[in-house]
Amino acid sequence: MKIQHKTNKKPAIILTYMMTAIAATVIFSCNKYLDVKQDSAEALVSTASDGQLLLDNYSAMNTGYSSDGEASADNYYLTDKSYNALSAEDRNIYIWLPTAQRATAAPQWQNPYKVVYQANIVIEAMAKLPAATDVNTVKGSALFFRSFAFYQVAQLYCKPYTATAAQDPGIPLRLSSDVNAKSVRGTVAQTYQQIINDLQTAVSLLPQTSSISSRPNKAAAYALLARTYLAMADYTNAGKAAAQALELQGALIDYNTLNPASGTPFIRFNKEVIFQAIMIGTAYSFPNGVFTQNDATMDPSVAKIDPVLYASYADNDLRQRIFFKGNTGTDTLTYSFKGNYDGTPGNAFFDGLATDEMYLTRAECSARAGDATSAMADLNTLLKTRYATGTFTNITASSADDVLIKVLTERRKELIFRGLRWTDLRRLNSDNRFQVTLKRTIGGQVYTLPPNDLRYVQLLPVDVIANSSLPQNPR
Amino acid sequence: MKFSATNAAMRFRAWPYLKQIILVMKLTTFLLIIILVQASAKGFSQITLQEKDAPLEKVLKSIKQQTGYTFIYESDALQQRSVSVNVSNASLATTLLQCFKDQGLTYKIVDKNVIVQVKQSSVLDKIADVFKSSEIQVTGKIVDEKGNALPNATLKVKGDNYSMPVTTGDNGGFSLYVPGNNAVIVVSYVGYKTKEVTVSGADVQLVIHMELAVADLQQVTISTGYQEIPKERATGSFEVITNKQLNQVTSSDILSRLVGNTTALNFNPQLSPTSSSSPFKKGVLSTLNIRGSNNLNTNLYTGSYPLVVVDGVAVEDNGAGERFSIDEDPVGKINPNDVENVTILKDAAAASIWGSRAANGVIVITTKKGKYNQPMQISFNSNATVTNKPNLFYYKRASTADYVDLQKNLYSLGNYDGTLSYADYAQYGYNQPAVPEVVEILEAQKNGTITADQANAQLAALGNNDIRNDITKYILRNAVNQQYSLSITGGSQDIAYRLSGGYDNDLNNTVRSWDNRLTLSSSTTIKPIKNLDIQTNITYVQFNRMDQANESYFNEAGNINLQNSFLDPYTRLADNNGNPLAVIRDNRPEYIDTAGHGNLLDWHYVPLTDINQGYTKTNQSEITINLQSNYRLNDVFKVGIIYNYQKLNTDVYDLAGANSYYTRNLMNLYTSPYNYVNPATGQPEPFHRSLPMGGIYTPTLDDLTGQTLRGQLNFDKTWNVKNVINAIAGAEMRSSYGVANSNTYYGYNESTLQYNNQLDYQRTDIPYYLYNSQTQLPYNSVNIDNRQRAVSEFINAAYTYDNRYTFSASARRDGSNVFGVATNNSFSPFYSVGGRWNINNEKFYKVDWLPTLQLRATFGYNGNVNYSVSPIATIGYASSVGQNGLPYAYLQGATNNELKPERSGVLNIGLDFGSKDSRLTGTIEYYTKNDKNLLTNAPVDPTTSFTSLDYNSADMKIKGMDIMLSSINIKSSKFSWTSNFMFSYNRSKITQIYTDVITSLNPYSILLGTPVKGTDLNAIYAFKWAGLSNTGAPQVYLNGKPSTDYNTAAFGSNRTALQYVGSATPVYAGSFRNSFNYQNLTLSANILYRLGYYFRRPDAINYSGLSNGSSFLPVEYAQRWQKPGDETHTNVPAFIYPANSTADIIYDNSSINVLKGDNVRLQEINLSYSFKKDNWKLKNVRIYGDIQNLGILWRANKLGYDPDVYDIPRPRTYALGLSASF
Repeated sequence: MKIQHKTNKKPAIILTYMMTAIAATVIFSCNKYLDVKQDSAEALVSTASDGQLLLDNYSAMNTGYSSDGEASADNYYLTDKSYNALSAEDRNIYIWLPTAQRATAAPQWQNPYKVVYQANIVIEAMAKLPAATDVNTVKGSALFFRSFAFYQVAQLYCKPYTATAAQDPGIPLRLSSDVNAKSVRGTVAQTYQQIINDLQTAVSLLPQTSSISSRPNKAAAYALLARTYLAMADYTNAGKAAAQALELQGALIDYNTLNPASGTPFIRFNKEVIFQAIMIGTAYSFPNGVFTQNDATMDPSVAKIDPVLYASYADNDLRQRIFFKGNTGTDTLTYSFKGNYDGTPGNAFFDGLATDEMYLTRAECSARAGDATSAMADLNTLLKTRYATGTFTNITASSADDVLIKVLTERRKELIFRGLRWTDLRRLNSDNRFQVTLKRTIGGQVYTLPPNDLRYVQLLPVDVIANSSLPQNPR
Repeated sequence: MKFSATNAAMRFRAWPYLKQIILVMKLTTFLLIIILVQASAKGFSQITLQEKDAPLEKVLKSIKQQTGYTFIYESDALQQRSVSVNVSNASLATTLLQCFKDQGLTYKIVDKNVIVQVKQSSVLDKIADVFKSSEIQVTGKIVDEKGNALPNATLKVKGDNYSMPVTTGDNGGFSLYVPGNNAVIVVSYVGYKTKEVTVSGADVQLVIHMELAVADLQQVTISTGYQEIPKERATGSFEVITNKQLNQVTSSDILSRLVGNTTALNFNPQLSPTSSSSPFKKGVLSTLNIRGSNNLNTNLYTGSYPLVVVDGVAVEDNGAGERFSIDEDPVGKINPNDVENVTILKDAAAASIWGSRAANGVIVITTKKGKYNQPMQISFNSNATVTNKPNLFYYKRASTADYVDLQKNLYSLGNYDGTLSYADYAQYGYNQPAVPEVVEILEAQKNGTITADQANAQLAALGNNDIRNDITKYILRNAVNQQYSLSITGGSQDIAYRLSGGYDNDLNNTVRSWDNRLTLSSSTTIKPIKNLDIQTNITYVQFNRMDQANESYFNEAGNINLQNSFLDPYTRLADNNGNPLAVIRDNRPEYIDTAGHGNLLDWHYVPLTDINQGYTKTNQSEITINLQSNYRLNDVFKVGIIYNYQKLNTDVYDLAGANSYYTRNLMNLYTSPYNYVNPATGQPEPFHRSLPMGGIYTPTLDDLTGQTLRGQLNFDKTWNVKNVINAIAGAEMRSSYGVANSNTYYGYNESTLQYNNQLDYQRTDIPYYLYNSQTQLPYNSVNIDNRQRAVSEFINAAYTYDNRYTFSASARRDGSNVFGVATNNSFSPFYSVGGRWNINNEKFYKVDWLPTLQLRATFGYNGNVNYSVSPIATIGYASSVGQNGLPYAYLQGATNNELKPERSGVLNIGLDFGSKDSRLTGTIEYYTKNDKNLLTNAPVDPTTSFTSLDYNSADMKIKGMDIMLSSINIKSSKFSWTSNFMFSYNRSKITQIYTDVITSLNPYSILLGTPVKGTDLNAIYAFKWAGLSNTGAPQVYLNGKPSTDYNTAAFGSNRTALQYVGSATPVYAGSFRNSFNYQNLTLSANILYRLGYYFRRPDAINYSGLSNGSSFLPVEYAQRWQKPGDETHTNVPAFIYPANSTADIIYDNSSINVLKGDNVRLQEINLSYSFKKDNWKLKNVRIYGDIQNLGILWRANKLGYDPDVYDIPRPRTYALGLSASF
């Protein structure tokens, strides 16, 4: 076929127009063309719903809280064999070696700060939105989460709240999500003030109830306030806050309804749980289904319950058989813990807020305020659910001191492996009546931790010191 | 009829002439013999003849009778010639003179013969030498505009329509007789203008330069993807890898064919964690960089590898593949047989036209096209490659017996007590995690199940096994790759076409792994009206791959290198009769045998049957449509539009078979324990299965659509002959849209396609067999919907004066919707300027021996947009619910308000030279790159919630040099020897670190690759080795003294224990290729060298790894410190329990374990034979073969390591192939 060659201007004009059109589109309307969301499953946090979704991320917000406090406390002991199988770091933590220090920030230091970061993103996003019920709930929740995380860090890495709180170095209070902001320590007073201020704001923003205890509500904010005030030894406010929490949620589980033979007698989100949180611990990994031990120290197959503590439970006290199981083989007559309020085996222990803690807090505050009646009432309300049906008789106290001793004894027995013992030890150290010297025996050698020792404040992890300008805690 | 187009067509046309010549020669020979035999022995005599208009032949016969002289002539030379002659007793000479007067014949008397020849006939050149008295012999050479020889060009003397034309030889040379001075030679060559040359003197040595006849014929041009630039006017740094170079290797992907053919690309297997022998990774783009890496962190997803452009359009990959771990290598799908050439754009002037994506260089691939005026030609090519089994014995392990002893030792030290103590909790529903077989035997002995003698016998038996033998025998095989391709090309005056098809079939190194690839492509160029060209390229690729199921342990070669395997070296995969054996995997055999009392599925793992359970099928299809139209408005302006549409579907179907270990294990785990009580009903529900029986099927469907629309105006103007301006300006819009989803189906039945997904994924209390606990069902559903849009504007102009000076400049700006780019740095402009001086065109330049001498220099900026880094934290929506039963979202990235784009300022100076006749040609280039604001994933204050973040943290300077030389060492008609030498020098130096965090990092993070000011980007650091202590503990020089304070040495704030050793990437690298050509046989060998770098010994002992389940016990275990005094002759630390992992870090990374990496290797040898039998129906028949990865010729380390091995050495391959056309 012979194609006629002739000059035809038409295609030229069309092509030129097209080219001009492309150029014009690019130059003048590019912003619109480019204003398309890159990924439908990806967005900036721009609505209350986005914020809620971030806070509902259970594994990020409700799990992985610091466990080194519990690992350092006196609920358990290790055999030499178990001790030797631990990593050097875990061994040092166990015997409170002055140089005991985590090499990496993750998970003990970093996990709570991950919660802080997520909360800050949400707080910043909510600040740009007009106030509305859902915005308030999300903002209040974020403030609560941030406070919960700050509280956790404060129990490990700064001194207990004492008269010198305004001078003692606190924890870095990161209140912005910008990674360029520098971390500074501030003081212990500032740390606790920030937690209290945020929680008070949260109380005003949070709803009365939430659909599930992984979401904070007013009761949770009051309960955390109670816990914080208690750590500060501000018993008036602690008692008040505990009462407000119990007013909103005061249900107790009757332990007679539980199966003591079960490896996991409690269920997750049980009715005592005000706010669900668990420590660093076991993770299931598929398809192997074996333990991944992040904090091997307290693994139930490793940690043996302090025999004195175990013996302190009365025979008709259901907690003995619900909380503990007898070990077998070479470990016969030793016991391990299975009373995790999270309802899972392993060492990811519940360290959230629960009603039993609030009863005990209110009882202690009443006792300290000299109100023995209220104190004993709270204590008996709680213990009635802990003893075998029909075998419990209300306990009584002989003196004001005895009230406090009884309350603290029950606190010790009830709130075991709940992440509270370390804080209680730090707090009670200042009172001669309740001071204890902790002991560990390894290879015949005894290691002790006397009251108010510097080692009650952990060293900041190596890579935190390396990558920030934060000062280290003294030794 | 007009001659046209290429060499191939020309040869085709030359055929009839050749045929005639051959025929004539045959006849001549025949006649010569006949006539010579008849020659009589008569003596010299006088001749008497009286003839009028008699046939010449008759007259000569008469002379022969009278004289005995024999006449030799071509049979038809005398036909129809008559002569009048009248002599009496004349001499032979007189008679002949009369006879041949005005006959157009010449003659010569040789002995008793008279040789008669038609004047100027080249057929009997040798014999005719003597006739040159009346003529001039002209010799010379025909060359193209570049100076390359043109073989088979046709020469004739003007006006001589009788003589046979002469054709040039392979070297373009010719020899021709012309009838005296002022004769005119007419030279013709298809595709070139016919040239007339006047001869002015005898025996002149002519060099005739031919000029291209058709404007659109291939000039020596360089493609930037946006335009074609004539090489002599290009200022930038380009490297063109020709079709011939690409065909030296037979690999089925285009990128691996570039190895050893370019100085620009670093193929660096050492630093790229890809499995060398894995079938999935055949030349992966991400392992490449041009002129050294510009990125501090090579594992940032985008932007760390070169941009690939095919026929003017950038290949998109959208990153969807990354999210699903799908091999979406955009270049892997290109059939190398369809590639005409590859251009690598190295400097700013070359690459800045690609703007924000150019910092890592650009690889421009041009595919083959049909050409106008070209007869139809069909070509085919086929080859087969066999790859050896990967060598699992490369890493030297200690004997299995030693390993058994070590485990015995670990057992006695209590290393397994923790795991064994699970037995104590069996009553609570705890599982029994696996312990090594050695430990099982020792436990059995301890429990009294077997005697000590039995135990020892069993342990001794284990010591004789080696799992590498089993894997080599049962899992590995020789890989076989077959390639077939067929193409049809042709063209008339107004239409040019090329159709091609390719089929590849690969059996990979691991059993049950194969793939195939079908490529179909069509390219058509039409000229519907004058000045308008419309080009349509359509490519379709279908790629299928079949592998073992993803869940199979042996599904890729990476898993079989055994460095970190759970399989102990004494594990056996089959018994002596080849029957598959169960191996210990997750739980102890006793537990597996008894758990569930028969109510659970079989819980054994039998590798050799498991590899057959299920599959992973990958089906990928891609269609690319590329439409380009160009209209020449007038002599100056040309308008062009390109539209490219690309659609890629990647479907991966993974089936964990119903009988696979993975499936059985999962089903067992989601079975309720014996004492489970359903909390809802209060009824006991022991051994209730929550997952339905059947396979687990996960299809992942990924669909990517990319579109590019570009408008471009070309401006070409020449005035006053000497001034040339070429410019382009245009704008481009691109979009890519990726949709992907993945879902898991339980209870899948392969034959009925039934499944059961009616499961309650939200329930958090599904009974779980182990630990008597509850959990959620595993849920996998992913949906991705990703849109990327970008717009660009560009301008590029070059002005050339008198073909001596060229100045160029370019600018471009980009915008994109990607977060971060849109908000922070959209429309960042990139520019370049450049100059070129063709010194050899200067009047003063009179260096005859160096006819080519050209100088170039450019400077400009390239960008690097890293799409994975954003200054704003974004949220992603999870597709499943959490343990609280609520939908949720998660955060991605960090809020970093100070993030800036990376920029690279590139200076390039180049010198091109070529000696006379191109005996030695070469290019020398010097360059520097100043990279600013480099992003690195560096540690940050963990209080921010991040351990490390990608942020601008450093500046870097790269200096380098590329040298390419090619020489023709020997060139004769039969034999030639050419050499190509490539050399590159590339050294990077971190010039600035912005953050205190990095400058104050501890030695261990430096070992892990944190940049350090003043040293290389990829540097090797080592702890200063201070020998072993007298207890066999490793010692390091800390503050100048031997120390065992490992924590301070590795994690402390001072770095005195650390020393800088050198670059981890080769500073000097290159290749040396020699090609030998003897007649039809070509042999070439390529040697690669890499020098000036260091590597860490990969098999230093790690005791803490061994006590935590690693099964790799290196051979040096035998040399470990065992008793005081050993420290004087060994550096291998003592086995101390419990192992100190920091001590292991110190030893493994100490200076004694750093070796020099320098090596020279024989990469490839190839041999090809071309059949030049032109009377066959087939043309250009070529048989070729090659051997690749022949091995190291020399290495600096004495221990036999190949520093470029990442996991397993690349196995040797052998290929054999055939190509031809008709």
